[in-house]
Amino acid sequence: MKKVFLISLSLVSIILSSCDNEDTTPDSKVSSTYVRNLPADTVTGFGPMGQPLGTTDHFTFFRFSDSSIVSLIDSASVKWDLGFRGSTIIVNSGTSGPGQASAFIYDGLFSALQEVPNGIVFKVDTASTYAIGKLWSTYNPAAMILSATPGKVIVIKTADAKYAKVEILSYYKNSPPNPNATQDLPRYYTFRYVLQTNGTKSFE
Amino acid sequence: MSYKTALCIFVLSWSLDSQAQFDTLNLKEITVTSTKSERSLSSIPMPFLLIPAQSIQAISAIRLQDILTEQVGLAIVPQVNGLGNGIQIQGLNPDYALILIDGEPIIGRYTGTLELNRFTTGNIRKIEIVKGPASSLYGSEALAGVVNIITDQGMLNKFNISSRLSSRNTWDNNLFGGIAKKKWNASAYINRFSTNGYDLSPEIYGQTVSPYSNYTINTKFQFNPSSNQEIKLSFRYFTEQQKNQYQIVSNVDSIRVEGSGQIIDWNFNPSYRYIFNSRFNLTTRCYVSKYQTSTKLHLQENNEIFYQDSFEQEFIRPEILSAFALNEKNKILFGIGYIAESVLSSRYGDRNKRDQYTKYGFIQHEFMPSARWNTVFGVRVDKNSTYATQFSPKLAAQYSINKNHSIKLSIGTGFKSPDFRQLYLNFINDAASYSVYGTEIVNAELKKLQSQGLLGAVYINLDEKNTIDAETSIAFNLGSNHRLSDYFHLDLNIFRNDLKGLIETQIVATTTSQKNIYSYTNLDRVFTSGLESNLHYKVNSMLDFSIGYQYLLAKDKDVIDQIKQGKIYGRDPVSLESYQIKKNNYFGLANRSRNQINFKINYHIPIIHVDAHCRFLYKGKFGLFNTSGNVSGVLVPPSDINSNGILDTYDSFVKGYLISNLTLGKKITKNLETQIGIENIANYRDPVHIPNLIGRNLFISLQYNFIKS
Repeated sequence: MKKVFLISLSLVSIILSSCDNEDTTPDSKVSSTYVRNLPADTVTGFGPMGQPLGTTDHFTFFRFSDSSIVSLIDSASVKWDLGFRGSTIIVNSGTSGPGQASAFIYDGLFSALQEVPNGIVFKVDTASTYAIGKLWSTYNPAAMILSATPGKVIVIKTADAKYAKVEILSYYKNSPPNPNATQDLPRYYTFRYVLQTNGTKSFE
Repeated sequence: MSYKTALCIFVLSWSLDSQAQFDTLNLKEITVTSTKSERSLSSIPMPFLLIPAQSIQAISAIRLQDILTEQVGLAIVPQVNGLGNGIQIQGLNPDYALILIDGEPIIGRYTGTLELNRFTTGNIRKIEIVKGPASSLYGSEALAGVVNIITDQGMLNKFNISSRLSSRNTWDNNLFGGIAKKKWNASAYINRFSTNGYDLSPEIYGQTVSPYSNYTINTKFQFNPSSNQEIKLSFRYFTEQQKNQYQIVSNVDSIRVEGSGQIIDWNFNPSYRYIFNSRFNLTTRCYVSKYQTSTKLHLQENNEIFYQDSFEQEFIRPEILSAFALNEKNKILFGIGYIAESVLSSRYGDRNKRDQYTKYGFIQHEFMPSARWNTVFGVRVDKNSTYATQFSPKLAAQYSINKNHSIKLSIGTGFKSPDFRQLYLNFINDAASYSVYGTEIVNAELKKLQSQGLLGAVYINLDEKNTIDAETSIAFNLGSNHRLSDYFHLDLNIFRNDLKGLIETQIVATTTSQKNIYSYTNLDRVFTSGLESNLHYKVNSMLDFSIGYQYLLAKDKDVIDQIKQGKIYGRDPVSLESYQIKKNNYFGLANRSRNQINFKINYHIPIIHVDAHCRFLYKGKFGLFNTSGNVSGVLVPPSDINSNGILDTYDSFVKGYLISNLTLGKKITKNLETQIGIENIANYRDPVHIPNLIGRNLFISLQYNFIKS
């Protein structure tokens, strides 16, 4: 009985808040942008011992400025801010890329983070640690489910010194309310972010 | 998958003395567990439960869990791996309950829990349960309490044979013979248990519990060469075989595997006692035990080995014990001993045995300043080769207000040493991209990876010895006993256990390929506290009632602190928004009901002379925050609805349930007795959350006593 799940690499559905009221956080003057089902080296299924099948080991590169996926060819460029592969997130800096992006993990609510706190230290990716890596997530070994840890906000300083706050919302395709390890496909990121384009630290 | 119901064969079950079993209000019973010296039950200054053989036989309990599950304040919980059951005392995990047979510790905590199905009740004379820590006498593991199974000594000439058949082709057969002479006595006992297992989700290939069978053999010999010398030998052997077949499902594939599991467990205990005079005696004994288990699974399609695992544990403990009474008011018990333990496991990365040695000594002073006061002070020191020395004091006192009312107070400490797994595990799970190393080997393994250039971030200092300490507790019990009339008894106890340094896994490093490496550390602090009450009303010699109730709170103190600091959040599964968790949202530790109620009626039906024992056992709602995924083949949504790893009011709970059991027993002739019964009358089942709850179970048993003197 072999069930093969064909994966259709669904394109990122980007809904700009200006188009859709539901996607705008009401208490925030700068609107949130939602990115849904960003594929991050997706799988075609799992082997008998749970090993992922059909992966390519390539990151999916994303940039905030126009909320788009950057082609793999540009991996060695400064055109991208974040890279996603499985549960690992990289920033374009240090050992991960030629860029100057850096990140900080803030504990608290996305809506409550109204400006980048003073004195925080943005980190770049190094050989031994990633600035973000898997710090956004919690793995439940019993359920074999990786969930986005509630109350974790990723604060990004992009290469052109703009600030963004990002909250990962789901790791599973179509963000099911109750992901199931044997049914739902992982490695599809849904997240929201606010990019402050005027260069200030405020997200208001 | 075979629900063969009990047809018409029988059982037997034991000698049912209908008078004795209704005499549960008798307080003259003698106990040894709580102080290692003979004390009358009514003078034990700590929470204590005694289950006599008659109570076990009256309900036809055949395995240890059958009888323990009906006691208030004890909960039988499934093991982490979903197979088998352990016992929770005062809301503490099964890992912290010490189980003894005739005062000697049982080994074989393969996954931390002692499987209660390993113990037959067929030759039990009584079970003594001390609630609260008893490390001052018993050392490691006696943190939540002690369950001491006291087996029949063969003090009488007797020969019993019994057989019981229950649903799912479950057979329990017993043979017991004892000879008692003036200077010696001997007994032999054989039990065979077999079952087709059960299947709570028949639509899935493979059973919830696969068929298994086991044998227990127990022989005892006692010889008194003179009136002041006593030589005892006892030997117990247990073996179990299980046939497994199941399906492993993943996204892409499902494969079927089958194989077998085996357990062999034996222990031998010679002892010699010399009685110098009525005030002073000395006992030496040497307890030896071995436990081994192995599992092998292969793929059904091509017989290729899919999984294998083995575990062997050895335990040797010589001990010298001396008891002396200074006078009527002061009794002293003193003991010293040595424990050598070793484990050989396929999960330690090689075929080397790991050893651990403990030297210990304890002293206990029982002081009875007046007829009203009863005090016990004890202390034990355990010096171990791998973890820090443990010092376990205990103080307990009882004050009799008058003939009918007394108050008890005890304060004690308990500990549980790090187990071999936490010290030596060497486990790499390639599929799930993580590995776990025990604390004794983690530095060496990480250095090895470092020299190969495979190590990324390191969160511990590799040049500093990585140690873990024992988990420790302080417990407080305050109780009272009230004889409101000759027929009406009430016992109350409030308890609080504060545990710290609970051993948890933590990330110690990541590899260059971002795989997490875990080891163990002393982290969590938890408490359990609650109230237990037992009310017993004997209407007349034919009828009595009892009601037991336990209220339990069990929480993680670090979680409480984090909530206070506003650091715990939840995520709404639909809106995907995060929100903050408030203090009153936190429910506590998983797998614990706040309310547990037992109601029991014993009735001797006149005219037909049948003893009816009717029990209603209620367990309130509880949470299991880490269930989810594919449990017994059923897709289950995660119960941790808001993904924060704690059990809070936003999560889904397992609802409370009631189990009703009825046993009827009748003495057909002087030697022949029969019982029939039905357990879980309403056939309540919850395969996903309570895999150890079997459906309705019918049984019939027959017992014949050839000689009884």
